Amino acid sequence: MLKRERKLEKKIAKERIDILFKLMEEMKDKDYDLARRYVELARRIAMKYRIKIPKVFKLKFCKKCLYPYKEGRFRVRIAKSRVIVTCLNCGYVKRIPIRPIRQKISKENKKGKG
Amino acid sequence: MKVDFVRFKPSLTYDYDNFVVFDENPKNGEFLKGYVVKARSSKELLQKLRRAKMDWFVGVVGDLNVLKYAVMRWRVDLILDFEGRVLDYSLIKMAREKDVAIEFSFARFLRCRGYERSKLFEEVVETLKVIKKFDTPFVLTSGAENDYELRPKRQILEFFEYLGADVERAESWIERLVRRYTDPNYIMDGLEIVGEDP
Amino acid sequence: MRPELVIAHEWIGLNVEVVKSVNPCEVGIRGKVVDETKNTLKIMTEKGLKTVIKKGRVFRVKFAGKLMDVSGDLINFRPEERIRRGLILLKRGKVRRW
Repeated sequence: MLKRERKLEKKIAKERIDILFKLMEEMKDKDYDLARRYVELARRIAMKYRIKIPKVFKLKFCKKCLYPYKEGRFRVRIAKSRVIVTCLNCGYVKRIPIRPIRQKISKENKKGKG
Repeated sequence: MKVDFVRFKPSLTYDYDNFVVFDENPKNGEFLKGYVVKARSSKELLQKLRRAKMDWFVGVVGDLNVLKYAVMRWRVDLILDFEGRVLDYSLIKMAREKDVAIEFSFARFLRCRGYERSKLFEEVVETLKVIKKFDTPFVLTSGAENDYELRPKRQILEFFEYLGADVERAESWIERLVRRYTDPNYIMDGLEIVGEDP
Repeated sequence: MRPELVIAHEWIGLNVEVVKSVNPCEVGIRGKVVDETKNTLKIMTEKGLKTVIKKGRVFRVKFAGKLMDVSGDLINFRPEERIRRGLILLKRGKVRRW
């Protein structure tokens, strides 16, 4: 039996996702439905080859209806230490918590506690 | 493209552009190199296939069991014509799927006479029928072992056409096989590099 | 990047020309690929959007600095499936490999 080249598969899949999101950015203002199609394709590739979509790209589209966030089509608010992104196409609300960056507990403190 | 598959270094070239010289130990020369794998068992076959360099044509000689095993290997390009070759219906079908060519040599007809020759005619006609059915790759060559068995391309084609071979198809198969080793722009069927893009 | 990886790579955004086709009207269509489905490529030409079936056509495509002729039968899969299937085609078929 021939083995599948999983490493190469994943590498190509990553490149393709990058390309698709770049094209989506360009296409967003010209053809909104096509931009959604690119997101859909990128997500399908990511699911098929079990790759995470990078966090930068993940914030660019609505999880529910897959339409990319576009000027005038989404609302951003900050309340109660979280960012609230509302998609105006489907009404899905995405909440991204923001916390102050935790300072690392220094070694001396740990020793003192122990 | 006129190319012939032979077993020695020819001194005269009729109207051929190039020759593929099959040998058990391919040597450097002006002709394309071919590698004959003579194997008695599948184990021996595997061992010998490992020796094959990337730019060698690989042909197999052996009995039916070895040939059936050889067809499965990726490295094998063609089944050579030799004395006492037995081809099977299922082997020919498998050769189509795995893309392994079958050689028919003209020299084999020259070497035998009488009853043997008539038997050979019968056998070749039968196999050509099966090959036509499955559209298996096949090459028509002279398969000569000395200068006296060499024939011009036209004669060989005419002879096999009489026996029922599809000559144009054979030409395209041999061209494809040779291109795989000589043309840097050929990658696979339906995928070719046409030019550079600045 | 190896040029033979076209059949596994992204076609959306590439410049494509139809070289051979059963339908003579389709020969010479040139433009950018906009969308891809299992059986068709959608090409944005100067005159507008054209849909070309993959099967039985030959496409000339620019990829990895090379100009290549690709038979449509090799890419006749769903776009996300093409990575796996294309690599299998390259591995299983008799391909030049050096």
